[in-house]
Amino acid sequence: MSLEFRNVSYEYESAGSGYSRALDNIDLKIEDGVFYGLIGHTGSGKSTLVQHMNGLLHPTQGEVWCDGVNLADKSVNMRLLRSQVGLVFQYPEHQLFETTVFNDVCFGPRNMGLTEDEIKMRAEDALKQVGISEDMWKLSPFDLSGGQKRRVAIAGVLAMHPKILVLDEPTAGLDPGGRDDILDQISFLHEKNKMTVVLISHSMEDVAKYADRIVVMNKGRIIYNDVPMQVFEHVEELEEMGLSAPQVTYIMKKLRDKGYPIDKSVITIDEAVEEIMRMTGGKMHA
Amino acid sequence: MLKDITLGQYYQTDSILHRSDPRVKLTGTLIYIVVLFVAQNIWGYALAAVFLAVMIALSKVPVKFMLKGMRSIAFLITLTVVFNLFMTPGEVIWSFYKLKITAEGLKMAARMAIRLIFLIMGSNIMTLTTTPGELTDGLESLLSPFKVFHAPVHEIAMMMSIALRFIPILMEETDKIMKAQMARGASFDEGNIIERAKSLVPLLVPLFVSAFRRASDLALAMEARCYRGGDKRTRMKPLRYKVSDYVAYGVLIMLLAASIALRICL
Repeated sequence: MSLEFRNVSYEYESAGSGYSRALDNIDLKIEDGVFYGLIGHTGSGKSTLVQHMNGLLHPTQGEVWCDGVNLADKSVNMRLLRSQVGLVFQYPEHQLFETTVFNDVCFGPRNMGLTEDEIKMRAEDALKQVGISEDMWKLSPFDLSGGQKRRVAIAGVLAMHPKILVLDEPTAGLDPGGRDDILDQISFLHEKNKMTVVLISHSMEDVAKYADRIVVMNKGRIIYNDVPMQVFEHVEELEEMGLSAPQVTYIMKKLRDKGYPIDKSVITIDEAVEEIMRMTGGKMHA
Repeated sequence: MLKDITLGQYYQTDSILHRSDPRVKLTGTLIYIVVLFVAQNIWGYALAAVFLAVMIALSKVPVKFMLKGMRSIAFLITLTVVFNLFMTPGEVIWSFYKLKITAEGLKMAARMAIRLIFLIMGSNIMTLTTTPGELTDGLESLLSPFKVFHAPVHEIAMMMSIALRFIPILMEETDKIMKAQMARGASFDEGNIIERAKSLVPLLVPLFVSAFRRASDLALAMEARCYRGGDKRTRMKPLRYKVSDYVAYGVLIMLLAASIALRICL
């Protein structure tokens, strides 16, 4: 399922001060089976961009195409589109409403008009996939912890079997343990089901670890769209935008500057450890 | 969709109306409403129209912005017009099956529409040019005589200001919740009236949960700063009349007198 932004701009009216441009001439192609990291400072247009992917917003200029169909077309089946491009918003509090966790996850599939058996099966599957154990299914979603709520919210979208999963800062406000759990699980789903993932984040560390490609946004424009290694080359430019490269790339850069032959592709801590081991001939613990 | 509602919003700019005392604007709105109901003939409405036009010009709020606020009440106005048009008994000038339009109905409908539009625009000017804080300060000050009867004036004003303060927040939240549920295939504009009412459940439950959570957070924050109600509370910006405010009161009294004169004499 291909998704393509062609020259997309989005303007909205802000009270008093005329029009603001949230997106400015966006050209972007979302390829099948790729894990995208979408990065940008607050207000850079990330959330606005992803809301165009499932037709919650329509461009004021330009077009979004999905499998050869213009999403602004009146004949587009929005329900079908939204089940295929699953968007999980930042705050699970904005979507949990049912009496039990299980019923809440059923909401999406039920809106698709599936049979009751199919709905139940999908909800069970989705909850298992995000690691919510069976003893929690009959609890009220409001009694869960922050991390659990977020998992249930993700399950609520996964149950629709989306081909593209879009997550708007799924780890904001979680402790490091919970954050890694959720990201590992998303990464696992991506590997196993060959699902396309778009992960919004402002943590370079997270994105470096999981993403195949990184899209950097600033002031409504796409600045970089490349593999992580290439994006992190532009440390100064990233810092000017209020972003940064993963901390380990700074160390690697310093070492390279000192003349050590370190590969540029090193962007995660694990890779850095390996590279240093290789250089020192594995004598780190010797 | 929801952000199109400009009723009750504040429009930030600098104008005579923005600078004037909220008590004058509150009294002015009240007088304007009285003027609208005193008006009986074309001259009365003309006076109200001219006054409204001058106020809009003075407020420096773009007319387009004001009219956009009116769009959200178009339904109410249409309903009023339709009911008055067909339900007023009198001399029939057009009929179709059981529907009858009477001359009196036509007159009544036009009058009600004008009154409603002017009334809402008039009070809209007040909220557009007055911050919610000023508005409640003004209200508290105007209602303070009732303290003699142990009316909880300060508490009422505080509740009003909190309510006003939360309107934009809750609207934004409603928008976000709607989007989150639409992303799961919910639809809010399909089906018959019962299905539509049912489709609101996924919207209202998260909204209420969040409103209660915000209320308890706010109460906690107020108590943490030793809020104890109205007694002996001082203000950072006490309300003080300026010369221009007395002039404004003069103009308002003249307006009221003129409208009464127009009704009696013409």
